[in-house]
Amino acid sequence: MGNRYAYFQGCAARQSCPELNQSTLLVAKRLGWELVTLECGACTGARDLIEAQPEMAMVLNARTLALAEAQGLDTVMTVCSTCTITLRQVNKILKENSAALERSNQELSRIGLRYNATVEVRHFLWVLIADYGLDRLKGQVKRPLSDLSVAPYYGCHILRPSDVLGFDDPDNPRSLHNLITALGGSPADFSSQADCCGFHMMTIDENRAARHAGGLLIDAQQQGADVMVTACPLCHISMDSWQPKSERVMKRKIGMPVIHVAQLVGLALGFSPRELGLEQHIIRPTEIIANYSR
Amino acid sequence: MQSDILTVVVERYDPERDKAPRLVTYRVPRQEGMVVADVLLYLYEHEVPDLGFLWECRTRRCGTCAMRVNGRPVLTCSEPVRENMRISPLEGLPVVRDLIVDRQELQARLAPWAAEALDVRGKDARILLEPGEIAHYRALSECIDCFICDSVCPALAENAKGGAQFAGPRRLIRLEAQVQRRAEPLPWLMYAARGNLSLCTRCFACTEECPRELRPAEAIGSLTKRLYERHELDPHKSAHIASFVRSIPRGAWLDEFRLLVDIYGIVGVAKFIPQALRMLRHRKLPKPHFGKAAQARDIQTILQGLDNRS
Repeated sequence: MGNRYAYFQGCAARQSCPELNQSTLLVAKRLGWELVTLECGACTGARDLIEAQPEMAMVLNARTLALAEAQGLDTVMTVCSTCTITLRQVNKILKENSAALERSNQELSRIGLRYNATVEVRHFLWVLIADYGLDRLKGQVKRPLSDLSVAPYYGCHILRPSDVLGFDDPDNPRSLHNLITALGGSPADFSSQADCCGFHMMTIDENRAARHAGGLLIDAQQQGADVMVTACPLCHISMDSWQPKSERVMKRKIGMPVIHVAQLVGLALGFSPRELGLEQHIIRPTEIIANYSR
Repeated sequence: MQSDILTVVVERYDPERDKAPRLVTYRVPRQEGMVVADVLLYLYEHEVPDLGFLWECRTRRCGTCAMRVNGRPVLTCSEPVRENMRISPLEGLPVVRDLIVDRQELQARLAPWAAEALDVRGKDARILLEPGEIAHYRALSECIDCFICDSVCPALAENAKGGAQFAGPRRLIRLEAQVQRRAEPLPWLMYAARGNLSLCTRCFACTEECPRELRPAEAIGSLTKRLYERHELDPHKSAHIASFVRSIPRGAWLDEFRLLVDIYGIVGVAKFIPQALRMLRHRKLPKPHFGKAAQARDIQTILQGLDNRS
């Protein structure tokens, strides 16, 4: 199928992280990928539906996968880790359990759709590494990130559980490290790089979630990182949009910029911070904006 | 070719003497089929008689020998050795000495909650298992109390900083086993609710690391579903789920603006005004969804089919 992908934006890239969508589209175009945006898709229901309303989650996500399949696409490319885990979890059930597939297809038949379980769900980061290749990406770098120390933050839903995700080693993930190195930057190893950002407890206990996210940011900062990169907009919301809250709860200034993977790649490919929406972050990466606007 | 001598690094710590853990390197003769517990036993018998570590059954049944090897929590009785491995105590629990952790500390902190469980047990002694449930119940009840899931749980680690106390995956998987086993599961479910299971971050660290592959995170998901259906879930978590159920059939995507109103109410949401203004300034404020999405009819049709089926 080459470089043609069904692009599943998810809710956050459509709403509170529009810069993620903007930078993904720019980078994909520059790398020669054809993205077919699944405008008619639907929210995966995140962890909420798959736990509390699993039948609803199954049929909603089967519909999204069937929409991609109907357009002759074999990969749904995601930009959110929680969308990735949820779509992959449903897809795994549909591929392994013919009764579950048949039940979903009964409902899909009401709207003229059928899913044959031929689609794979893969995160933007995985497509970049496995399909495009880091060596090839190096050849496209116009502006190496040689002055940047970047904290690679993986979070959970791109790593665990590994029998659902399986791209990277959850105990020693390397994909973001390798990407940062390929772009000319220096990965700043920090101990909580694969820890949870706390997003999914945010509406249950805001202070607890803010304190938890603040701890990760401080950990990265103590390792000398100039900026943190995340593969998930929900982690980004926890650590960028809510960073002022973390600062209040922890009674200390943090000021750690957090950017999306596509923005990091976009900078190295020569796009300006404005084109990539870097100015939209709550914690503005002011030094990056100053250095990379020239 | 493998060396006949294995180099290992052991994290040693005596709280009465050491300010911080020390890393000590040892050399141990390699034997065929050697596991990490063999290394510790060799060191204890030949070189380090005061090395603190626990082990018991050596058949993966008791959970006593759980430690970290190169950062990953494992049962040392079955973990093959590797060159230059670093052996450390489980994280998230106080270290008594060297590789021994205080598991009782976690138990004590949750003692009031555990006392309630004993009452529940007294009220409900009936056992009724459907044939199909037996295998699943057996699986869940095979927890060996190794504490690995609790040791890697970020929500449990937050307990030490105060606030609501999360029961942790080890206790919740046992409750899910009880719920599946009982004819009248409500008291057990209420017990789970009082363990603040909605504070679980859904990070899957427990599922990833459980040496018995019992998938505690999924057991917490199952308890969540049962409590949601009985309207006994934490009100914020319940409203969070209900917001997805309401948003998607109409707007296809989650209405992030409406989500906050659903959870906190019109008055409660006022506290987010400074955050909302900040997001507006940065062109990131989600807009409320007005009207139906183009695909709403299709989504409603397939969901209607589910309703009819149930």
